[in-house]
Amino acid sequence: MEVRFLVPANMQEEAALYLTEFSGRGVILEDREEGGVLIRAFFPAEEFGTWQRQELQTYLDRLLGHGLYPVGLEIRPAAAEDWAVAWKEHFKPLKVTPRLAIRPPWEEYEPASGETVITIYPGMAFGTGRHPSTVLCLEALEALLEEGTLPPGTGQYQVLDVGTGSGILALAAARRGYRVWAIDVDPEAVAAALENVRLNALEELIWVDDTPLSLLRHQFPLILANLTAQDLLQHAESLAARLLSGGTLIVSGFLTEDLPALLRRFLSLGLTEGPRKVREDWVALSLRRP
Amino acid sequence: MAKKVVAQIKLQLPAGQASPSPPVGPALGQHGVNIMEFVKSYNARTAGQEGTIIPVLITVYSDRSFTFVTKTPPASVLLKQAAQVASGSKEPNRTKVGSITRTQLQEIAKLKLPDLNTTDLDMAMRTIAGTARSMGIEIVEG
Repeated sequence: MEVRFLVPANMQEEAALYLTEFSGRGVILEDREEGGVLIRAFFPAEEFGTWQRQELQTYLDRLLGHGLYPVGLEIRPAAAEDWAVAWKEHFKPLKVTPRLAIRPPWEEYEPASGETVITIYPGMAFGTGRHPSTVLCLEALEALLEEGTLPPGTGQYQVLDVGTGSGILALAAARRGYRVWAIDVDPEAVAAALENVRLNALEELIWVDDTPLSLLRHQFPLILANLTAQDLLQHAESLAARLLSGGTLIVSGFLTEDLPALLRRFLSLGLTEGPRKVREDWVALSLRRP
Repeated sequence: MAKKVVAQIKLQLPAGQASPSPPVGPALGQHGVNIMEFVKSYNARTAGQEGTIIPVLITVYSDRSFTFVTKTPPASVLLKQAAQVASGSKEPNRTKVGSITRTQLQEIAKLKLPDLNTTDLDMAMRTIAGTARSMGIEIVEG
């Protein structure tokens, strides 16, 4: 059973605490556009009987004694669903570019000829292949690798993935045989990326850690940075400094309205403009160091 | 990475006791969030605080990944713990169920300060004292 209280905002802590303790399971709090907060508590149907209804009524009577009362009260059957698995329905194998498909670990996917598959465990790190900026980066990466114009590089790693999130871009590059250094300042992203590297058995090709970009001293033929406009502006100098002559920097994660400022910044650092891709107002821009 | 927020979910859960059943399941499931990963992370982050209630704000992004921040326990939970009482008074004006010292009040106000609409400790103490009065918990010198 689901019990719903609609209460004024100043009553939400009191009502939420009461329903949390009464149900023993916690509550959902939803701010309503029309004002007030909807508090939702859940009880197993077999445990919600006369005593529970009386207890609720006693509580409401007590509130009324203090001049407080929920604006709305509703008791309704709750939808029966196995929530531990229901969310997985949202994640099916997805063909993100003509040559790349992404699948969650619990779904099988038979790749077509010439197609590669990456396994991504959807969770707390951004990059499940469903955001336009991720898709744009993957497309730009694919186009660049098709050209085959990357300089060979001098260090152990040919690709630097900055703000790796789930590791999706690093995995796509490694699937094509490139050695990748993936960094992220968020420890949860580092953990997620490491797990996805393991799921794809690409430990030999991808190194993941939380080294700050500003501390890196290597230079790379290819840098991927799917960040935000603000982060890209902030780290533009470090990104440009880490790019080898003849190399390419692919930046994404920003909207068309941010493009002029970013372009100005990167061109002022000696990079030249390469191809750009736009999808749903999101942009991926390739920049080259002559 | 680029993040577009599609939902913010507010829950109030017993520390270390989250499970995929309601309320967590329906709250996160409708947004396609990995419920078990949230449950595991929430329980890990609130481990050692069992017995209290920790509000949590979950941000869901357009690719269905998520982050969350835990808040401080509700003031009434902290007041009950400090006064060592199981529940507030049903008639707070007439029946007092316990008391806390002014020092304890200040400690609770400091703890709650990040989640209150003020940076002024005196103001926070007055807010918490109001909650204490509504629960039948007295403030005594000390």
